[in-house]
Amino acid sequence: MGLLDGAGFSLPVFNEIEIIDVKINVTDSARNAMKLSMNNDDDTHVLIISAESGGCSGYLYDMKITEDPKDDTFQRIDVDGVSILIHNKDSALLNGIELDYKDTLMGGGFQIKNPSADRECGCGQSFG
Amino acid sequence: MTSFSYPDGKYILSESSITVLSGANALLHLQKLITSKVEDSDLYRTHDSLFCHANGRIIDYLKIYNFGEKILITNNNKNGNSIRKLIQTGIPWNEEMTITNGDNGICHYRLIGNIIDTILKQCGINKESIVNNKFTEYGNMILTISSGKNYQILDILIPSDEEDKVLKIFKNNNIKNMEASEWDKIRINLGIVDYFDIENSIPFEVNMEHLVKLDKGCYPGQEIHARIESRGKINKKLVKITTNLPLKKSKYSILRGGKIVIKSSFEQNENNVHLGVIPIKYIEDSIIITKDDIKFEIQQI
Repeated sequence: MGLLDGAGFSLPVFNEIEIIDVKINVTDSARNAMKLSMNNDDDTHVLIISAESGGCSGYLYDMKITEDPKDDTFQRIDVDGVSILIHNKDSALLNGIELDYKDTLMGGGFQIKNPSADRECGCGQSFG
Repeated sequence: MTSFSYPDGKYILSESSITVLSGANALLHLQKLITSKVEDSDLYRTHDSLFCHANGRIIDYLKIYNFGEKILITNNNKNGNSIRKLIQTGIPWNEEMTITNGDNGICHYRLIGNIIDTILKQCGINKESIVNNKFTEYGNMILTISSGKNYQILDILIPSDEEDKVLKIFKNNNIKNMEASEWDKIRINLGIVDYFDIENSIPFEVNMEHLVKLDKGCYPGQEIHARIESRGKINKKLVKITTNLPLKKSKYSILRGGKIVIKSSFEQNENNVHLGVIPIKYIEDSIIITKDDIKFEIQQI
């Protein structure tokens, strides 16, 4: 038995996750950009918005177009036929976000405004 | 006259919290939360690092032990649960990672003194294998050496149900346990910084700049650290201070402007020793006088 397998270790840490029914706002420009990005795959693919450790403020947004995981640990929001998925573990962090799209060469692309964030990094990708 | 001499051998049970992370990307995940770069770490390497708030101030000091499939972290036991929660909350939805609380499973002993070399010889351990951020296993113990310019500390991690083995080694070598106050005396005299000296400070102001890697990508506090560093706004430094009066942990106004903040103190006859933060403009001065006419003898650490 090694140092890391001895008696006295607790079971894996489990901090209860707060699950919230997520509501998000998607601007018209973001809706259009999402439709274009899906490239007519919206029957089989979804947009997953998530939060993970990183960035100057503690958490980073991530957005992925991926095959539908068909996993009930995600909450599903339908926007003009496109499914946006948010994992239950991220629901408290992402509830109330506004998804926008800016069509500019500098600093353009999808952008997220988060009214629940206490602070945001200058680049807009990190919040806490 | 100083009443301090480097010990032959003294040990203390450290107030450490122990956390074990496992998962293919555990090291990379951890790197997003701390100030230093660890993703390229080799097996059996240790790394010292910091957790910081988004405002750039230190939450905790941690030591990371890389076991390959698992990573062991020691940090201050006051922060054990909050650090584990911080690590857990930001795990990406599509990654498998396990966090285990080892607070009751592993003890952390610290041995300081000239006897370290003798102990290592008795155990047949090549010292080269545990210096310069390396660690080795000895039975179920993990050994590494933390060192400064005038001291060496042997850090020993051992399963709690086997701690009698390490205590037996100490007893056989007549190494005595020390109380927290005696540890304070030793560490302050040697300029060894403890958690309470750096908590809630900007790393650059408490001599922790070597643990801040601004070229490794973002982490909480990075924006503040980068701004301070690029503007050359590092204006404080942690030093060892000697006074002939005992002092409380407090702020003291300097006659020529600025303040000294005493972080740790030990009363030692007429040579009271402290660790404190002073304005960097006084760093080359050997003596600073306060508005209360207290003479502070300054020594860089």
